[in-house]
Amino acid sequence: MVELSRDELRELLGAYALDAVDDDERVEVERFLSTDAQARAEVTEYRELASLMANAGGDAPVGVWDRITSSIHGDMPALAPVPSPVAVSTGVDEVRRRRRSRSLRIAAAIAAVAAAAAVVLGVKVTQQEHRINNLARALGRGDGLQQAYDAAKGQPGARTAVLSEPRGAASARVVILPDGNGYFSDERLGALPAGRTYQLWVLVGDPGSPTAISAGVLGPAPRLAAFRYKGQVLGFAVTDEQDPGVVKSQNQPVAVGKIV
Amino acid sequence: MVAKEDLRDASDARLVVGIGRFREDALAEAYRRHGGAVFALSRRLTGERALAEEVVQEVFLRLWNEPDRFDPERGSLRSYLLAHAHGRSVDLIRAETSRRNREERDARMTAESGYDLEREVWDLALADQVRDALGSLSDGERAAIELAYFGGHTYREVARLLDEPEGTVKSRIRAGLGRLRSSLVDTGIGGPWSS
Repeated sequence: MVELSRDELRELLGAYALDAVDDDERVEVERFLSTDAQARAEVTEYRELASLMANAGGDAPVGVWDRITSSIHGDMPALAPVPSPVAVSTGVDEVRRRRRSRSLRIAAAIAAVAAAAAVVLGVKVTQQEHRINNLARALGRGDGLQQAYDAAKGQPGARTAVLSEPRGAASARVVILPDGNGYFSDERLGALPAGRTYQLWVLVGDPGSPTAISAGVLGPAPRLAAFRYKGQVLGFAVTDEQDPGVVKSQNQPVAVGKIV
Repeated sequence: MVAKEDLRDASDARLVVGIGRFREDALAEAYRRHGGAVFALSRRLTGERALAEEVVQEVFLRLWNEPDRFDPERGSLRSYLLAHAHGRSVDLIRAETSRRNREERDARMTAESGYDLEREVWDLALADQVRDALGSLSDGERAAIELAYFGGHTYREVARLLDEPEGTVKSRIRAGLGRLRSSLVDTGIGGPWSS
């Protein structure tokens, strides 16, 4: 496909906002949007307009809500048959698989942590910059946070820590930049039950007896979060705490890793 | 924390924070507010109740599992959910068999009776201001937007259906949306464009 000019891409924004472009054009437009804030704002406006054109719709279908809650609780019944040759529900099936695997991972992680607690870093905790609402901050960034994380990984001077569960499987990744901006990305942490939250800690000080400083609370099912810590870092740890997080942790980390 | 008694009055953004904390009642309130619109749009696009219900289920499960994908600075929760529902519905109906049937249907409608925006859009119980704003569009702009958004067609398909050049249709969609925006600002409907 011939590469489109910025003017041609701008002309496509209306069609893009209505999902009316071909796949190859969509890729090009999205690349353009990642570099042009004005174009992003224009697409946002068009999508708002489209939502105004859509029908108010009346009441939400009750039966679907029952299926949603069943899926959330992990005992989803068989889906209604779909009278169409079109493949559907891959997303829903994926959710079911993830929830089952999450449950298994939680059980495995708890067992592994109990067995291997003695080999985990001895963590002292101190009170500093304790923030309890990282999720709300992340909500204000949306896809921008993903883009920032992707960009950070390739920046000069970026340092990475791969956080592992006690048995060694990588469960999360942290990237921190020289300016102190850092990003946490969950790879394998299982979702926690209601009332629990993951908390991210920066490990600093003496490598033989590191100090843990709270970098923020991640919520029960973290995906991506931003934090900020300026200074020398030995590594990072994640603990499982009572929501909304703690100033001092009494728990062993569920995942820990050194900066490289 | 979003208190249970506050949910009916809570903003959508606060509901999403509650959903992020695994508050099922926050998801229920979001579903009560927007589930009907998501279902109606998806059913309109797919033409099948069962498919539309699958899309609704997927949209709200995604909100439950990945609430941080919603960015309140980039539009309302309603437009976010509808955009997701529209994208998924379009994916479904653009399967080859559906595409052929849909193009035949829309070509037949266009050839036999013209594209009746009165029937396709006017009966959607639109807000008066939105209806007035749609009235400011040229016939060509309305047809292009209608076929793209409610028909689920790409602008190239719309061009074939209307027997117009692709560039013309592409421009009409953008120009029509721009005119809608201006008209809604004139009629006092707020939005991100009015600030």
